[in-house]
Amino acid sequence: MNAETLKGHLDLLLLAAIQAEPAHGYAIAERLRARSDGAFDLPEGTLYPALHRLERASLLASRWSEVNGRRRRVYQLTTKGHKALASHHGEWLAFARAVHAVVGGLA
Amino acid sequence: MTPTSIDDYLERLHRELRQLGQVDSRLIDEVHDHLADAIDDGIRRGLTAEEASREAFERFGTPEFIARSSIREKTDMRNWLTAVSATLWRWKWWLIAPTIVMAVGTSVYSSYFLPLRYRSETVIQIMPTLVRSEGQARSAEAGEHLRQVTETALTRWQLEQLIRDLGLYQTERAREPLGDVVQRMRRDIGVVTKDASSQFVVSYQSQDPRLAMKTAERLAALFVEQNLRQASSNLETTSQFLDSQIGSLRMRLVEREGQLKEARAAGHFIPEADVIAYDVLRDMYKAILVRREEARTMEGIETRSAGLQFQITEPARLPERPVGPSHFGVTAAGTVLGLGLGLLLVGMRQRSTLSAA
Repeated sequence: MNAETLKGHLDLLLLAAIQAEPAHGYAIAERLRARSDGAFDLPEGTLYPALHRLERASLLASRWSEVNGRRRRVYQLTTKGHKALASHHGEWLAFARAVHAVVGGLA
Repeated sequence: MTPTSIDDYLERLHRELRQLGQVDSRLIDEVHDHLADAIDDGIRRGLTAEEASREAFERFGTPEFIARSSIREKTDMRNWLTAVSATLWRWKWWLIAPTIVMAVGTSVYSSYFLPLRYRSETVIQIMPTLVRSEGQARSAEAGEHLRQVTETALTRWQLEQLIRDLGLYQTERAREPLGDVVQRMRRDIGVVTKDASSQFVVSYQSQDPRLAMKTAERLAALFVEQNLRQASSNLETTSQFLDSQIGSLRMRLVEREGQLKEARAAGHFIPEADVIAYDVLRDMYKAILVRREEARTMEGIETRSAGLQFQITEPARLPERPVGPSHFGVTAAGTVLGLGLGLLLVGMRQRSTLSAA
């Protein structure tokens, strides 16, 4: 999947990847790659500006912490982030269902 | 061009960010950690160090690309607004509390503790004098004239005199040098033109209504007096100037007359041009004599009349109601100050939470 297509849904993907448990940037990138079977292959560096933006919007909170003997910035969802994820997810499901209803018939 | 090492990569990223006007040390730190993790990971999967590095850099994206995407995310106005409103909401009590405290505080302070201020005013008419040929005083001229008179009327020396005579600013004089007290007095004095500069208002503000009236009265008198002084000094210089001109003209005239007489006596032919030159000189001498007589007469008739005359049309009155302080204004200023303080606190809170984490 190309980067432009992904970019529109990046917020939803990032929030979903962090939802279960707090994670640092590298772990988030790995989760995205693993869960999508490698389909989500965007430059990993672009995660950080997006994470920072979500944090500025108070959807995420972050702190430095020690993971495997290395200092890392760990991100977690705020209450507002959980709400945003739920609403983005709902919108996505509605959109996906609608697209499927139209396109699915053609297959 | 693939970076040769993490340090090389970070240096390029740093340079890019700096060129775009944004140094972000946290981003650099995180990129460092990410690349180190990715390379370790590659080596664990059996890649050589070189292969692992190349893979990590390829997956991460070029420094130029990352810098640009960082700037793009930051300059998104909508995100910025969301972030600001979210921050404000999060720390809303830090904003609301100081605002309320300051609003209530300044309101109480202005109602119970700020001294009342009274203003007394004198209206002075600017009039052209009788001997002026133009009749009406032009407003630009009157404005300029008033400016000059104001300068001489409100000199430090004059105001010091007033302060001493009327016993103004006693508490301030005990604390501050007299120069500062004079500055303070200048702030309490108002000189404003009205009706297209045909009149002006001299006012004075004080905590004591009686002192306000007395001082306004004295100030008005100062303006009238300074106007007279300026007028007579103008006249003096005019007639002095005319006197010196008359002296030199007279010498030239006598000399030329002598030459003409000599030539006539000797029976020489006198060119018409020389006669004309003599006539011109004589006419000029006559004209300037007339001007001097006029100037002298004016000095004699009325010293107050070089240009514009000041006449007090409304003398200072005892003010009945205070003009200030404006409780609304003070409270509004306090509220704005409290809001500013709140914003500052919110900013500091947010900054400390972001960096403490």
